[in-house]
Amino acid sequence: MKSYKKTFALTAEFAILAAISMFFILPILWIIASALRPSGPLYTYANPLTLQTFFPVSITFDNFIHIFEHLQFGRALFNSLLVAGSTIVISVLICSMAGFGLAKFTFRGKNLFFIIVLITFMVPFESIVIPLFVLIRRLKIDNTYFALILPAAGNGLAIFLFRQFFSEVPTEILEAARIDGASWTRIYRKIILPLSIPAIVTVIVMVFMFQWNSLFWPLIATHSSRFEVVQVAIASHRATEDTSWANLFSSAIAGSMPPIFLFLFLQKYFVRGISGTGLKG
Amino acid sequence: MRKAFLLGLLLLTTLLSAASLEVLWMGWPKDQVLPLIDEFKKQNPGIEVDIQLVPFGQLFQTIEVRLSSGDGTPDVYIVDGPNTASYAARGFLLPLDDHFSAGEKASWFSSSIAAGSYRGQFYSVPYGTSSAGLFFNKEIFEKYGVPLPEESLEARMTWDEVAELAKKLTIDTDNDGRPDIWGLVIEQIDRPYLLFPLAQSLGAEVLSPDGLSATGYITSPKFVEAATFYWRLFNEWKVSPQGVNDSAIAREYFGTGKAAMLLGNEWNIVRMLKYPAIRFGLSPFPIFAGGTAVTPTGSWHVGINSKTQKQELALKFVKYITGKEAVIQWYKANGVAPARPDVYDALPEVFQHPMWQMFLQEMQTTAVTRPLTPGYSQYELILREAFNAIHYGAEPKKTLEDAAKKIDRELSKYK
Repeated sequence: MKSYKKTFALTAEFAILAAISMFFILPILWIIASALRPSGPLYTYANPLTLQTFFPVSITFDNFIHIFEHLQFGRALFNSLLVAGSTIVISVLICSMAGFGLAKFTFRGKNLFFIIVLITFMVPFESIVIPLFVLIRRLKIDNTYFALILPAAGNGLAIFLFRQFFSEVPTEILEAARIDGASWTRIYRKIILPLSIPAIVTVIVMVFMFQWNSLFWPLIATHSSRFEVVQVAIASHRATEDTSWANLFSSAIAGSMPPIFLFLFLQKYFVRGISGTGLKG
Repeated sequence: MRKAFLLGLLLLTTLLSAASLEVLWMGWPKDQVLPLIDEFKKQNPGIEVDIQLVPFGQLFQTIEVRLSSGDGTPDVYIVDGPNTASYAARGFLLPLDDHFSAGEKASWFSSSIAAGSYRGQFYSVPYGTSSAGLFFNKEIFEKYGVPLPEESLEARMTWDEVAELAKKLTIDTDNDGRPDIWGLVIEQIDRPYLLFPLAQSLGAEVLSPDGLSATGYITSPKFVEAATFYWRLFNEWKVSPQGVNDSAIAREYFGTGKAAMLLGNEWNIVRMLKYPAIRFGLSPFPIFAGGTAVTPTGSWHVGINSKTQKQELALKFVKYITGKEAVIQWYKANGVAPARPDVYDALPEVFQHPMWQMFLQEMQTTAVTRPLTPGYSQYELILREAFNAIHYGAEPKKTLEDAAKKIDRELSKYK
């Protein structure tokens, strides 16, 4: 009797969850289905809603072939991966060191410095875009990969996450290592970094998403099609006079594959990383 | 070693950018734009064109940021006609009177030349122009026994007639309480471009003659009357769907038979080819009873950065891209109205079409360009917010008064 009740409760729970998840999944299914159909009107299969709306009858990859062969979408994917990858490497190094310093050292102006770090990720990007652009022009690195990578490498939120994470590492361990004669660089490399995998993974995902989704800055910082990134390539399929749904949907799907794979691959660390940054009792 | 490499890379990029012309362009579908650029390169071996296609949603911000750095790049950039005054007033555009003879300027419609001029000086070369009218789906009219509008300029309908038709043709086929066919869809639902002619047809002015104040203009009884009509479409008669803020979606409504009428642009003649099933007609842009006929016009222009270091090259490119051959190619790819009469003559098989003939007539007789003001982008943005609010049900008079105050505040800095 009891197990019968339990089964019923479980079934009901799943039914409700499935119904709710439909709202999130169906639009995505619709985009996938539209991308796999021959290019044409957007609403042909959407009204009335039938199974065909979400599952194409005849599947074609022509839209994908078109964006890769004729519209250099592969180049955009490569650029975004390169930019995101380099930013990750640099920012994990720099931000973890900064976070380490803020967590374990005492120096004059430390709190002021920390406040500045906090401010950097609270100021809306639009408000600093003109000075930032002037800066990269003066440095003569506009229209290069550096212009896309460097401004995102020093990430205030990442520094904050690392600092919170390192604060949890007992200072006694570091003191013991010092007494045994380890240099700070050695402690950083051999103790701090291996301990902070969850925080590193969190920062990797965060920085990756930030760079992968950036649209406005790449438009300003670079102007050659050689440097076109994924979001720019996707957005360029829309204009007031004409929108190519087939190109838009197929590039949106192709463009969301890398983050999905990255996230699936790293997700178990990601959740642990967030919960481990200073929120433990 | 690494330093040398970085230095080399820097040098390389500087060299590369020095050898090519930097063009900032609209993000039209790439497969339409790139063939034109390739053709230019073929005609001018040795000249590199570094073209950046900026999506429409980010275009104006990108231009603002790029120009404000003031270092001469991009060399050539696309200019929305009404922004000419704004860029020219701030010295971002190269004056072109010395570079285009009167004979050359005669290649374009004079209204397009006027739209590209500011205080008597020619600044931006017309790339396209535009017109609009009332498209209607013949099948829907016939199916519900409503006589078809006449497709001639003499039979221009009044807005009240259009509203009556729209009421008849807003139909809930499956009785779920929400119309499945809407009477009227407006292609650019909140853009002054398509909505000004309503007020102008009543005789309203949309901005002071000096282009610097809106109070008393967009708040005039005539303007408010037009805005109230617009409000009724969505809120009282409910013959137009709210929230269709994407022009591509508006076209989908019409193309797939979910709207009986579309107030839209000339490019729909070509856009509707995507929907082979639709049979449609074109009635001229409506007027208010007793009012004058006014149609919107204007489109993209091309400008040269006043600080460019490649002026000769930039001029060559601008003359090519706005020239007859390139515009013919552009029409074939994109379908927007050319701003050059000689293109219409060159493609009689296209432009003899009665719909094109009607648009051509409108462009030459009833077209009114958008107001010339150095603060056009702020002016348009605030008005769009106001129209958007009105279509969702905000009280027209109050909304316009608030908008006028905001606009005046923004424009006061140009006084």
